[in-house]
Amino acid sequence: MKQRKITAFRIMCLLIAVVVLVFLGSGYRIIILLLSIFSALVFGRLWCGYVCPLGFYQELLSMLRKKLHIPTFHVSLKVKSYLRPLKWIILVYFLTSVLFFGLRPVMYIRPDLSFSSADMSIYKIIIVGIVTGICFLKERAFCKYCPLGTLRGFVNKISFGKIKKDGTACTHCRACLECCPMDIRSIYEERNKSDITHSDCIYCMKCIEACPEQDVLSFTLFGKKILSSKRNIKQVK
Amino acid sequence: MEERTLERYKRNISRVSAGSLKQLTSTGNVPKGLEYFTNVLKRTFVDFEKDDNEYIGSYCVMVPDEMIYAFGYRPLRLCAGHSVAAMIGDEIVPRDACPVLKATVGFHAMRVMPIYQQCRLAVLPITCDGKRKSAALLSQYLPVIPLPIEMDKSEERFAQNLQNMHALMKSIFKETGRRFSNRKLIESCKSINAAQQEAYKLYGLLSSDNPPVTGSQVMAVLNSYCYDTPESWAQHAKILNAGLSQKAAAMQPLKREKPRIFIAGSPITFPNYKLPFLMEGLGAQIVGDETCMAGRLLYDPVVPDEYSTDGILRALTARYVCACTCPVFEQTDDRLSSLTEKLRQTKAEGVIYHILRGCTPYDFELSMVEQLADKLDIPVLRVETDFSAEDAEQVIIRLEAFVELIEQRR
Repeated sequence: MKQRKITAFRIMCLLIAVVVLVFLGSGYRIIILLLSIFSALVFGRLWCGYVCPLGFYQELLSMLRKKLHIPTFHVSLKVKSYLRPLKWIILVYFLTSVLFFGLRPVMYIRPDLSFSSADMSIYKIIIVGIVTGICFLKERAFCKYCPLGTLRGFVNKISFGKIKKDGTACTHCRACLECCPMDIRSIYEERNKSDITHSDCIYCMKCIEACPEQDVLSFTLFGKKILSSKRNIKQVK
Repeated sequence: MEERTLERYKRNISRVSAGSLKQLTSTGNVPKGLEYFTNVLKRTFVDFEKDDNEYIGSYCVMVPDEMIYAFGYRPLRLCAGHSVAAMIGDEIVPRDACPVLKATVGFHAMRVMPIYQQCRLAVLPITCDGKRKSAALLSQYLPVIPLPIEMDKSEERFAQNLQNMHALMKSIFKETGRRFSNRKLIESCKSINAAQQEAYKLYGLLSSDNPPVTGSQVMAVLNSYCYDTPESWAQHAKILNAGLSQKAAAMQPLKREKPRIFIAGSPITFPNYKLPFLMEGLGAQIVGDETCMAGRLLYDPVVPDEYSTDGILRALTARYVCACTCPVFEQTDDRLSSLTEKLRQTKAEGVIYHILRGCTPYDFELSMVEQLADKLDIPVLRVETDFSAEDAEQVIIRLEAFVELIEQRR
């Protein structure tokens, strides 16, 4: 309903990042790696929301799904509690395979890397297909378990970018939680704390866009308010 | 029913309604564009006009209007505030039930209002005990679909509420045989959103430092939304808002500011504007209210993330149940914090806590609201009354003292 200016900007960022990283960046691996590490140390998961090509791929899938009016699936609380350890299992698996075996498990999941590599196998296609299918039905499904995201998430708490909330003015209308791609419940439930940056947060700012109350949700960078929620409900096209 | 009795009912209903309408427009401070809204109320309650629309009646603010539009019906808020109907309803519902229920059941029993006759069915959310029990009483007059609402706002209960909304859709389909249309649902979301935007501006004008409109007029404008289409309502509200903004810009600041009063508590429905009229008669300015028939009728917007039917239903459940601050819910912090915020925004100097006789959920929260107002250093006056004009003299003495108290505190 609202003007999606921030999202439009973010999609632009992702598009540029994809062009740079996937097509032009092959010669500058080291620079990209250093840049990624630096941004992770300073801004936490901001990279996931604005740069990550796999995130962009998932976002395209969600955009297609929303265009087609296909409902997403919602996982019940019980199932969610069972799925929680999966994130850590994947992280441990990722770290061991990278550090001890020199493997790159991302290869199997990212469609562009998977298909461009020399040895195409049915096994790879199936994995890519499953991941694509899940991500089509659930917005940013992979990001919830992404090992790199989990690592960056450790920094979120001390990141210079923060999502702030004015709990007393919140009407609990749930608009923020309904649009959150990472299903962060504390953003809706929290009333007392002002800093609500969660370790899963990818700073997509959708909650700030959706929030209909003036200045209830805001994004601060180095302590300065950059974005804040407004009551500007615009017609949907 | 005898013809003569019917005539008498009609005469009395239109007399009381016309009286309220006259008082709305007789203050000498009638904004441009208000006439449309008073005409909507006049058509319904004074002229008893029939139209060709098919209605689905709804109670409480927890039934999504969007869903009713998606079936091609028009929603009609049946919660009534009419003293004549309450008198008739008194014989059907218990004496201690709240007058809103009495009036609602009374209107059905009287069979004089054409719009009540035009209802295909009614959706009744099971909120307070009165609503729960009146479902069976109302089913004598028209088909009633009860909508269970979970009284706990936790995540688990949200899933249950969402299921109930899905079930409501199926029940309406079963009862009417009409198919539900996703396109119409999106369209109604849009048009209701446009109406909400205008309503939000109107709230803003009312809570400004020198409001160009009286509280009772705003209540009537918002109440007329229940008997109009959102498109036409929004269109005329836009004209009203433009006129009011102009007027506000041209207004001179008052030498002696009016005491700013916030109305909290039980719903105030047309034509029962006794309390706002008395307050305004005493020179006070009503700057806002949190009642479900005015202040929060069009407050929270529906913000769907996606436009599949399930996505919109989630947004509807979120807006109509999660954001609702009705005291029937177990959690009280939502209501208290939104009250705090509204008192801050409106810069209210006093709170009138309106309690309809028999409306216990609101009465239960009085002590908490008093504690909160104590913290904010705002006096609270509890006024327990009903739709009849008989206790006006007693009420006015208390209100007079309250207004005086506020002026003394300055």
